[in-house]
Amino acid sequence: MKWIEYRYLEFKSVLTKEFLIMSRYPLAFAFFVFLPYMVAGVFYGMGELLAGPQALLIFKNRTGVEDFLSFNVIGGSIMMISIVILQMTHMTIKAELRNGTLELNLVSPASRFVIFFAVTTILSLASFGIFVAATTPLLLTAKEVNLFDYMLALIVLAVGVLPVTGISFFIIALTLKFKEVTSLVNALNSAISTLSGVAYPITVLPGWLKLVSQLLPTSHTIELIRKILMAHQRTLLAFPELWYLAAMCFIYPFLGYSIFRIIEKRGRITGEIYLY
Amino acid sequence: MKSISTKLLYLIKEVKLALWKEFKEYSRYPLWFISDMIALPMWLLFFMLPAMLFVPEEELANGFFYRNFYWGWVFLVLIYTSLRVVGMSIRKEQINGTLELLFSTNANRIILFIGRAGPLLLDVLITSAYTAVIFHTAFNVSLAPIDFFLTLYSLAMLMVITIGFSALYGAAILKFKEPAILTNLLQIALIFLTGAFYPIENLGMISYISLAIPLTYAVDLARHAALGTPPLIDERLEVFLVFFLALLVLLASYAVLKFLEKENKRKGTLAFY
Repeated sequence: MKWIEYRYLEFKSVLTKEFLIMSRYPLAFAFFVFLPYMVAGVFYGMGELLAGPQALLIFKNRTGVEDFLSFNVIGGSIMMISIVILQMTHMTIKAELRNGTLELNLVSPASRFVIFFAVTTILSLASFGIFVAATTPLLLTAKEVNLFDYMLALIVLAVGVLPVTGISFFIIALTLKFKEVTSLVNALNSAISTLSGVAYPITVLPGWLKLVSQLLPTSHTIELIRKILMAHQRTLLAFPELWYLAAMCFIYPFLGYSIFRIIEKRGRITGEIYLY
Repeated sequence: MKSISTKLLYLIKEVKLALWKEFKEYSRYPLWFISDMIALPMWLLFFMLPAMLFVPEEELANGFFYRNFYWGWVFLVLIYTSLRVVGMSIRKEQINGTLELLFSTNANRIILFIGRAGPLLLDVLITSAYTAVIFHTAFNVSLAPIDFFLTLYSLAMLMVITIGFSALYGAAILKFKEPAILTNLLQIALIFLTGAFYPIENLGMISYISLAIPLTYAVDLARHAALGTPPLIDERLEVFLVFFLALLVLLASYAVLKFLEKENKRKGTLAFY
């Protein structure tokens, strides 16, 4: 019992600390909420420049998408979630390394997994906030408001965030090993943003890129949430995307944590984990 | 009085040293290189794929859309990279506190920072080739330029003009110390106004501003050479004009950089940060 209590207290304290740090930057949160709308605007402007007033009609004919804004905002907000979780995880660990506070955490008897898990948890919670704030205007202006659909979408989001958290453990491991991996995180985010079908259906991707996109949890999350919120399809269990996501919920966190464990263990022996 | 050959020898030695320093520094971070190789073509696809959906399918069939996007992207990356050459180098040395040491030497001011162009251009070259392979396998289109030598010439001139702008940006750093907003504005304005992805006539009244920017002619010549679009003026005339403008921008920016360095030294503000 004591073990559970200690882990709980560690989790709570790291969560509180990270929340306090995050709450210093409300404008960053607003920026992430606004960005999906900006991305939609950029694509719309690009369409107007290329095809004139017929742009949306051509887009609809080629993709079958009726609601361009919802299509883009749903994709964009999931893209933001992935960027926030992966980028901020790296930045948080890097800041701890730079400030020398990571060593304080690592010499304490606290569980390393709990420390890092709390960091990714607070970012996942922030991601939920971003999704809710970004999609609320769509919900309020929709012809058919359905809270049940929205609850289903949030459940899918909860399932979809877990594999991303798994990837973030991989990022933590890389940060502990190589220290400066900002460029690599940027590259990963660019691949996720491009291959997840943020602003287009995945079907337009060329063959082998389509295959890679199937390995990304964000592709399936976006697809499922669009089906629920835009097409009002509720037979969740019938969608193969849900089963892919469920499998990723086990595989990605397991792989991410295993790599983290190996690097952390080796880093403690060689002492490189304490270097910056 | 030094002879011309001695001056030239000094210049070559300075360029060699500047390149050596930058390649040494760049090779410390192989992850940057790998990341750039992934991120740059990915962002290109991120913007190109939705744009593709606004174009009727029959217009995509002749491949011009893909070639236009690919070459537009090459111009954009080259402009963006060249803008970083002198300006960002000055900024970096300023942050590291080594700017004063460099400016106390008698080395050529632009050559001093031009070394950065080496690794950055190598990066652009490799990424462009790699992206061309991705494009070819993914969309089955030929990206070969219509006129190879004219494309090379126009890209070289485009780079020289942008390095001139970069030196102006460097001069702005000496004056204002933190011109972050200016950099962003300069980058966006140059890319938007010079018509890397579209003919400047599409900009309507704004195209008159474009015509006043030297880079517009280099981009136009590059589009003509790579894509076969009609040039703004006669081709041969544009070739000479672009050369003349490149020389002019480089000389003007060098003069401004020298003047502001002298001013900063006179007032003792060079070391301010």
